[in-house]
Amino acid sequence: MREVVLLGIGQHKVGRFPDETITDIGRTAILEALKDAGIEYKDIQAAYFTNRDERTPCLGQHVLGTIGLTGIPIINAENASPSASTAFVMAYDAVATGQYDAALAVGAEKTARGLRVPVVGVGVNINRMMAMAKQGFAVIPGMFALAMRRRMKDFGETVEQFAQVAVKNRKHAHLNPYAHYQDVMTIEDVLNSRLICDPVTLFQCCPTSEGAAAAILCSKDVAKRYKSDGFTIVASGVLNTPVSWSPALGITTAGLDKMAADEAYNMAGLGPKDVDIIELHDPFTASELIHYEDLSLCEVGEAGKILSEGKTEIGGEIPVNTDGGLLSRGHPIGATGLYQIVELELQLRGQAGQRQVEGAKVGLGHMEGLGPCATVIILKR
Amino acid sequence: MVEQGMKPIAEGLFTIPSLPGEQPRLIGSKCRNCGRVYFPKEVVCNACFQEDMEETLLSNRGKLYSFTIIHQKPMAYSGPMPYAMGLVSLPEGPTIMSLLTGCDFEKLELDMDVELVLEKIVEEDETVTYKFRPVQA
Repeated sequence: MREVVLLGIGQHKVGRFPDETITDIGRTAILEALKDAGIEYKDIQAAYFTNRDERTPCLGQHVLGTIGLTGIPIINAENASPSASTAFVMAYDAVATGQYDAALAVGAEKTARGLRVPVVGVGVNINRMMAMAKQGFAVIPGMFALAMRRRMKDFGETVEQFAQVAVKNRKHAHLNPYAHYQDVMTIEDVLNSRLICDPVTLFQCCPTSEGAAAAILCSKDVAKRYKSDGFTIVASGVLNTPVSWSPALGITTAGLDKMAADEAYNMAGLGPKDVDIIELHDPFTASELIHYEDLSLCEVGEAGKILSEGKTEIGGEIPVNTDGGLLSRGHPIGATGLYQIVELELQLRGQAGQRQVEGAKVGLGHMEGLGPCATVIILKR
Repeated sequence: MVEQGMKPIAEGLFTIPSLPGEQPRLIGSKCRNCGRVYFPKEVVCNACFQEDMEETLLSNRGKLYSFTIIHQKPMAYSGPMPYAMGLVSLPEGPTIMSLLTGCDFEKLELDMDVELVLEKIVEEDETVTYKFRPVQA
């Protein structure tokens, strides 16, 4: 395996963009990443493109095609929330194994407003899926409401602690001009917002967002042709499907994604204490607390405690979701995993402006999807 | 509770009692190799990957692992709003998702004993599904 560096990053703002098509949004992120990397488009040897909602065949070719097609393989993939981080892992694997010297990972999303529903296609077990949906089970915030109530009983977490996750991530997003929602809010604002699935309120759910983000990965030797200053090393990139998933398993305990996290720490030769900043999957407030445990930031049942102590805020011991996370930066599903990479890289370079975490050297990005699937990526400066 | 002409929401999920006093049962599958039990039924055991499953009827009592009251109507659901949904742990092993019925929302509590009933989702429709309700003290 060769050493792989993160050569360049690019992002479009997150939000709603009625005047831009997915090719416009995607192209913006790619062009910015090329410029940041100092590499020419024709030197990219493979592209990995992800999107969740569009369902257009060969969408990656449409997006890259607005710049031009150069004969390289363009691989389209979908992996629920970890789609874009899956693109990153595929690009990393291809460069690390020597298949290509320079590869592009890009995710782009346009999406509908409102409650996200699992899409039922013709190939799945329609009887079972439709029977579930007719019974009112096709409601994703409900899954996390179930987790919240169980955690409140088992671990003594409070509704105020869950609300604090949303408040913290919004406070971070206030410092991120690319975030979907940037106005600060209070615990009362969160708890008094519309009830979706008791005890989940509206501001404890991530928005459905649009956006695009891109990363260019390169073997370390070849990267020296394009840049002379320091590089961020990709220390690990793990994609797996956690075993033994059930509705009750993984929503209240650190079971679901621990396997991917442990593998990524092992691959990087690093432990949770070595990590300075984390971008993790927080579509709902409960998710963030569950994932503190998956990533071994604390023991099972202590997530609420480390949150309340301020350890995961900017200025704390291990800042989490410094760009606002899914809850406030937003969740353009097919692109989110690469927004995490962009934020980690800005932090590791010391270019994160007002939200800079001083001296950050190791960053971890984590995405989870149902799935199940999970990705954990560790970057090292 | 049980009436003639009831139409199950899907085949193979539960039995419909044919005699008065008979209880409905959920239909699961059990792996003959490792003993793991599933609901709904699986063709292949997801734990040991053997294709050696037998149909098994599950207990009609369980414990309420967690619950939520849903206030925003999801896709394909046309029953009353808001409604209660929960996870029920069955003694055979599986924890299953189910609608909850037969009590005020305020009376639901984690780990309470619940029992299986068959009920309509929408009053005007003959389709029935399984639900759990608190066991009367």
